[in-house]
Amino acid sequence: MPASRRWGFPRFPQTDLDRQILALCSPSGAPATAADTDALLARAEALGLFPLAFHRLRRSNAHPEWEERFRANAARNLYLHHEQSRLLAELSAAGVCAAPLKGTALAELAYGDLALRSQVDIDLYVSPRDLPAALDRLSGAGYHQAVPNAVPAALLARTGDEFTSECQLVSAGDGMPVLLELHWRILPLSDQELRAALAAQIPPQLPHEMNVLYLCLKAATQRWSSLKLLADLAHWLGRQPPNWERLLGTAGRLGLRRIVCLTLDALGVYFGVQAPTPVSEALASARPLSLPAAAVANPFLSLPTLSPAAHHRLRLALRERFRDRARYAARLLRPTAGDLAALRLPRGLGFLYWGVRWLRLSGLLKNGWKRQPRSFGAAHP
Amino acid sequence: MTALPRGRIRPARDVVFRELGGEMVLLNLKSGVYFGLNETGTQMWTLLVELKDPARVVDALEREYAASRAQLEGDLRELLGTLRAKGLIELDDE
Repeated sequence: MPASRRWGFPRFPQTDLDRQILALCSPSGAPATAADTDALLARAEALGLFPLAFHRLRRSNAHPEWEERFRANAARNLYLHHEQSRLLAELSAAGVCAAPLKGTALAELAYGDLALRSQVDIDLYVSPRDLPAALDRLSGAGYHQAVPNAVPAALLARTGDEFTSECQLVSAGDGMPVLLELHWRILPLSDQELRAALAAQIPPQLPHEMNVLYLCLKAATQRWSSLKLLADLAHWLGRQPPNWERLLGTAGRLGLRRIVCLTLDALGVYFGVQAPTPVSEALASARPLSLPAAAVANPFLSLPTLSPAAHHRLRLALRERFRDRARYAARLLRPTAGDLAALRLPRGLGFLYWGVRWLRLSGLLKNGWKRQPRSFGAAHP
Repeated sequence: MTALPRGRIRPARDVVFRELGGEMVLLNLKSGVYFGLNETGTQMWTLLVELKDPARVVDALEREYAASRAQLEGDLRELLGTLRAKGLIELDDE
């Protein structure tokens, strides 16, 4: 099948303002002025690109309120950076294998300045086998699970995949409120392999190529609707190109070439970033013949919710290998953290969670025994 | 006109600082109070952290700027007053 017959990344209509923001925030963008600075910054904020847009517009006449907002973001990122270091030190002292994801580390990698990225929370990877110890230690450090009646850590660690393993904690102290997200499966890798990859870096962190793959996977999870994440990737790849051969090799081994291919398409469409020709050619065979229209969401509009069925169809469609689709389908039937949280069953009746899984997949059960309308589904069933 | 504080000055406990987005940002991790310094303020702060003594900071500024010593002292005094009021610096005897 010629490459031209394969599926192409959609080009959503953009307003003049959107085009200006994309040009301003692209890696090749330069400091500029805008006719209506306030409107441009307000739109950039809605798209998650305010700090970068403001930084590149700084010399023009923006309202002082924007200056203050930029500074507040910088101060908050500085706070989150120190808090993240504190938490990683706590986890390390408890013998927990942990590493930072995205966040201020990404801000420095992508922009060389942690003020240029807006950050909502702290994301940490924790090895699944260390999850109970991590939650215990973090509780001592002032963090508790955001969901009441949270699932026991040992059970939680057995659930989830690279799209769904996530647990939210909130700080309970007097300082700034912080949302902390723990992730324990971030790539389709064995725990042993991921631990070895992290341990090879000092301090522990994802190696460059794995980090790029992780961000591509995150972009796919959000249906390429987060311009912020795409801008991060575009800037990072521009500042520090990966070893493409190694990246393609790892992507092939993990069955992520299709996702990498589509992410690079998105970077080209929105930020004019082009991968080297041999890379594009190597990825061409992973490009799908077709994809459901909802596979890629319009980043200039709010993200539409999907039914559970549509949601899983998309995730299956993003896998290029049969064995990965089979693995996903098999995992789909296994109880998740959401199932455990939706209904508390006595210990001896744990096997009934397999039924709960079916009820939740069919939309009959969401949070407790409450029938959901058929047209409405959870984003992460 | 009040004189420059005598003695050594240091960032308050729990205060972190870093150059971000083209300016120095000071943040008290406990209180959440933050403050951004412009280019001149950043230079004053950098010298303060290094030299600790306001009089020596003015000496260093005098070598760099074409302003009078009185003007530089006035600017530094104003900055120190603001930072002290926000709990971002401490005097050695505090």
